Amino acid sequence: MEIRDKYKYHRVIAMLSLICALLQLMFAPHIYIFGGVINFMMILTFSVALIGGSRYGCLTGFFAGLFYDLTTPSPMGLMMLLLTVIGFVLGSSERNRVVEQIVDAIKMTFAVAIAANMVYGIALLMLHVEHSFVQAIFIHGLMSGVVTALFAIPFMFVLSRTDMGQGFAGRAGGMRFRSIR
Amino acid sequence: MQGKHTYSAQLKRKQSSGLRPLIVFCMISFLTLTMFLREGDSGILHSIRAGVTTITTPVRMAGAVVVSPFTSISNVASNLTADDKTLSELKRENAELQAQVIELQESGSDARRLEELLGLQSTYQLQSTAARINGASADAWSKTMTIDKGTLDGLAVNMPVTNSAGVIGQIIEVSPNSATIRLLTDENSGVSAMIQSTRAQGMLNGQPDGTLRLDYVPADAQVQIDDLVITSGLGGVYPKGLPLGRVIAVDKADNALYYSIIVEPFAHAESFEEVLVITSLTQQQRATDQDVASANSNPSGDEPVAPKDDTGSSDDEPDEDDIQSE
Repeated sequence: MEIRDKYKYHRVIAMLSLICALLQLMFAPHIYIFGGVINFMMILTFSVALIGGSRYGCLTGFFAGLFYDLTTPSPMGLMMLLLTVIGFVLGSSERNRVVEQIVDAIKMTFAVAIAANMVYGIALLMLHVEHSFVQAIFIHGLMSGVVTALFAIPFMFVLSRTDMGQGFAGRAGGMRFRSIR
Repeated sequence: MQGKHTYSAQLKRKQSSGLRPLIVFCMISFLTLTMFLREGDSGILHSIRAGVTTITTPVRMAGAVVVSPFTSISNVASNLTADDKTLSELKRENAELQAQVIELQESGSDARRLEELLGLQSTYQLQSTAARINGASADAWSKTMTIDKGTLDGLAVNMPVTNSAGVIGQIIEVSPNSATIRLLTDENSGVSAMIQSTRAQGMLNGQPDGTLRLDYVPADAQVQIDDLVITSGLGGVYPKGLPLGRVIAVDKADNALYYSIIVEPFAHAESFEEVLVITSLTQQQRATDQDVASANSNPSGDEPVAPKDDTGSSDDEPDEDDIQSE
C-alpha cells in the first residue's frame, strides 16, 4: 500500500516538474511585469519543499536550478546553489505546511521568493553580470520575487487539495521538527 | 536503553537524510559555477547549454506562437488611440525611413537606388544570413534574444545582428540550430561607435532603462542632440557605418574629460522579427589602419561635415568613404 502511494507521489512530483519546465520554457520569457520575470523552477522548488520536506526540497531545488541555468543565459551553477539551499530551508521548516497551513505557506513563499531573488541579484552584481545595484535588487530582484510568489499561489492551492501531504507525512525520510519536539 | 539508542540513531538518520544531499548538491553547484566562470565560450558547460538550447528550441517556439495573440492584445490595449494596423505600419515605415536617411548621409548614393532600398542587406552589401527571433531571455537580469539559426547555418559567437533599423546586438552563444543575441541595451553590451557628423569616437554601452550611453567621447568634440550615432568599425566585429541610434541628451561637466551622452537606439527587437546576422565583413567594411590611427590621434573627430555628394568630394580621411563604395 505504501509503495503504491510512494509511486503516486513521485508521479505527481514528476508531473509538476514537467508542467513547470514547460511553463518556464514557453511562457516565462514572454511575461515581463514591471521588470520582474516569473521563475517557474523556483515555484516548483517551493511546492515540493513545502510538501515533501528538506530531502525532496533539496533534490528538486538542485535539478530545478540546473534546468534554469541550462535554459537561461545566467551563470551556470548559481541558481542551482540557490534553489538547493531554498529547497532545504523551506523543507526543513515543516513538511505539509502547504496542506495544513496554506496561508502560512503562502506568506513564507512570498518572503523566500523575494529574498531569494534579491540574493540572486546581489550574486549577479558580485559576478559583474549586473551593474546597477538599484536595478538588480529593487527592480529585477524585488519584482521577480513578487511575480514568482504571486504565480506560486495557484500551485499552492492545487497542491493543498491533494492528499499528497498526508502521504509524505506518514513516511520517514526527512526532517520534521514538530515530531522531534 | 537500547530503545532510546535506536530512537536516537533513527532520529539522526532522519536529520542527516536532508543534510547530506544539501552538502553534496551545494558542492556540485559551487564547482559548476566556478568551472563555468573559468572556462571559455567553448567549454564543456557552454557546450552542454548549447545542446539543451537545441533540444528545447521547438518548445520555446511553441511558446512564442501561443503567446503572440496575447502580445497583440497587449499592444491594442496600450495604443487605444490608434488603429493597431496603422500603428504597426507607421512604426515599420519609420524604422525603414531612418535607415534610409542615414544611408543617404553616409554613402551619398543616388536617389534612385534609395528608392529601391528594400532592406539593410542590400543597402550595406552585407554578407549575412537571415534569421527569425523566436524567444527572449527567461531571466530579468539580461537582455537577450534567441534566433532560429545556429552553427549549422554558419553562425558563430561575436557575429553582429541587425534588423531593418540598424544594429540590435551580437551573438554570445550558439548551438547547432539556434543562437543567443545579447542586445545593445544589455548592460554588458559594448560597441565601438562614432558621431556620424563629426566622426567623434566613443564606446556605446547598454543601460538598464533601455537607452544607450556613449562613453569616452572627448569633451572637445562637437556633439549635439539629434546627432546620429553609427558603428565605427574599429572593433573589427561590426561593419563601419551601421546605424545605432540618435543622441537624446548631452551633458558635459565643467572639468570633465568626456561627454555624458545618452543615445536612443534605432532598433528594437521583437519576437518573430526577421533579422540579419552578418557572417563576414568585406575589406571596405573593416576599419583600416588609417582609421585606427586617426581615431587614436584625433578621437574628438573633425568639424561637422556636410553629407557627401555623388562626386565623392574628398576629405582628409579617404577610408571613411561610404560603405556602398565597394
